[in-house]
Amino acid sequence: MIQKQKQLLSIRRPLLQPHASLLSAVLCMTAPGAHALQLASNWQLNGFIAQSGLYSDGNNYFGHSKNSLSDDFFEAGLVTSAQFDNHWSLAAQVLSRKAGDNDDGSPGLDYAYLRYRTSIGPNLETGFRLGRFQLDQGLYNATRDVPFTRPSVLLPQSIYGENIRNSRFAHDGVQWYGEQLFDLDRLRWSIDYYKPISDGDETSDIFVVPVPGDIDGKWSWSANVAYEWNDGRGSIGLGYDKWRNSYKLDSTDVINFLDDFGSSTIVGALANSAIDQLNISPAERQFARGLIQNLNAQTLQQLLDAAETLFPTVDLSGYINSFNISGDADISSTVLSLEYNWPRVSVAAEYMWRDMETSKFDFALINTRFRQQGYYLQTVWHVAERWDLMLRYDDFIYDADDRHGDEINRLVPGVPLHRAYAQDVTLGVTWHIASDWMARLEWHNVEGTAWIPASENAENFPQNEYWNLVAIQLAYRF
Amino acid sequence: MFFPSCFLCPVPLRRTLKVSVPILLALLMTTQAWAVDIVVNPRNPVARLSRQELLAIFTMRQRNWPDGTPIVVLVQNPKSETHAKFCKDLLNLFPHQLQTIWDRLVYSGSGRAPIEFDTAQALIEKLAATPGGIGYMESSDSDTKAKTVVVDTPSAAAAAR
Repeated sequence: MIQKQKQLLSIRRPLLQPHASLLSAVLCMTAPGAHALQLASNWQLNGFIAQSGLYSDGNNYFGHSKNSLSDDFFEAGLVTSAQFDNHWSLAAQVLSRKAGDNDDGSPGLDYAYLRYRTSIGPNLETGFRLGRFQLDQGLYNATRDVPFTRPSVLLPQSIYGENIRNSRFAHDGVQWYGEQLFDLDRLRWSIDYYKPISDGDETSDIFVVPVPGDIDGKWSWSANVAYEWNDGRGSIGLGYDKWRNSYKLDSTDVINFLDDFGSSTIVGALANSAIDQLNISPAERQFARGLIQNLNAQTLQQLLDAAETLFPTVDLSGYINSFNISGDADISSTVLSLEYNWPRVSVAAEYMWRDMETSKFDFALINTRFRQQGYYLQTVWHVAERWDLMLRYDDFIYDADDRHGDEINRLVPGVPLHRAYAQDVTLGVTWHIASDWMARLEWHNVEGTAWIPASENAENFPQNEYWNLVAIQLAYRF
Repeated sequence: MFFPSCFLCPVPLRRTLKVSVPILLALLMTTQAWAVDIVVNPRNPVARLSRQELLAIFTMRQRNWPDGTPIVVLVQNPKSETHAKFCKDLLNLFPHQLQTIWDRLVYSGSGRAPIEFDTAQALIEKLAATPGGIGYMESSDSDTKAKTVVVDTPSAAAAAR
């Protein structure tokens, strides 16, 4: 969260001045009959607060929910927007979110952007957003933390995973967007050029195993298009996002990681790569390779100790300690969204695939590429004026080439097979108590643990393949 | 459903129709189920809106009148019968569908919510004081402080020809 606040200061200067005027406008508006400052004539403030309870019978999720009630899920936010004139407006959201180990509740700036919009004729609008703004991908990302704009307490984790929330919800940069109105239909599009927000936790965001190293965002881009028909009842959208990062490891990261999670396969492969880099004769190289095969060392340290005894003239340990491994870590995601709203029933479906690729590392082993995929099918039934029922099936696969988890279990012993997938059937009910109060209850019946963040369970891995999660939420808005 | 007698209207001139059609409708309303009118500030030159424009205005997508004045959307209590009738008859939406549209706009920071009023009188007071205001009310609440706007439903458009 501290990083987020630092980035507020790095947002371009013009944003800071309207904040001061907004404050004056607020103060003026509270005095009846006073004139608001012309600079922010149309200012609006909304907010929400929600407290949830979670109970699960197999694994922890958002706090200590395994066989006990966890209240470690709390969301509160303030959203403000101001319209300066026909073209310029500003919007910002501050959020405090407590979600187990994933969010500590300290208020952070979710988004703050300046918008310039212009009309070209009566049916075409185009504009820019500048600053920190939401990734406009999928049906729910732009408002994912607001209980009143979600269909359930927890969004489908295949696409709106908790583990990637912090880095994927919003980013800093510039967006160009447009909206073309047809008779009953509307076409919307947007292109973002941005720098991702780095809060230091991205490795655990991206990888199901807590992998070490530093991730630093590079300039990335995203493109989204959506078509709505029948007065907006139906919509279909396609979004593509290329999230680029540089990824850096140093030797102590690698050694510690291998000591915690390494297997002989990984150690051997890394050692072979290192041997390739060393300036030794082919005969020595061959001897070294043979040695590794026979050594069956479990840790890199064992290997280094053995190598130092056998090759006193080669400073293998010194070499390893001196290197920095760096390369790129890119995630390209594509999301296809479909929604239709009849008067009493809505259906929604989204399908996502995410190519995770690490490249340009000197150690070939680390250059890897795999594809995640997920989808969900959801229906919401407005059964009565104040009641909604929701049914959803959500399916997530961590690696499309390793659907049952055998590969990751072989590479990193101790990782349960069920860490590779998750299928979730959810049944939920919403009670709209009043226009500003809402209560929700839902039951997730899950097979697999792929979307449980690594930090939530004591052994670092959730232990139960079949588990249930019940969530209850009370929310208020103004 | 409301306007069958419009086809009997003998006056051919467009200008007089603008005056007489609303009056005719008002007369018809008293003999039929109650209806909801769209109203704007009396100084607003707009006299008729297509259903598309009405939807664009109340879903907060159209932000300005043709002369550039910002549109200020006023609605009655979303739980009221008047609001329900307005949504279903004039927008062809359920109130909860409209609420979802408003919520998505407001909480993504990309739009503003309409201003809500508990009584038609309060809405009219605000309308009279807001040059760009638009709202709705039951026909029986008609008031000189609010100017009724004709909405182009297919039958009204036929009557105007």
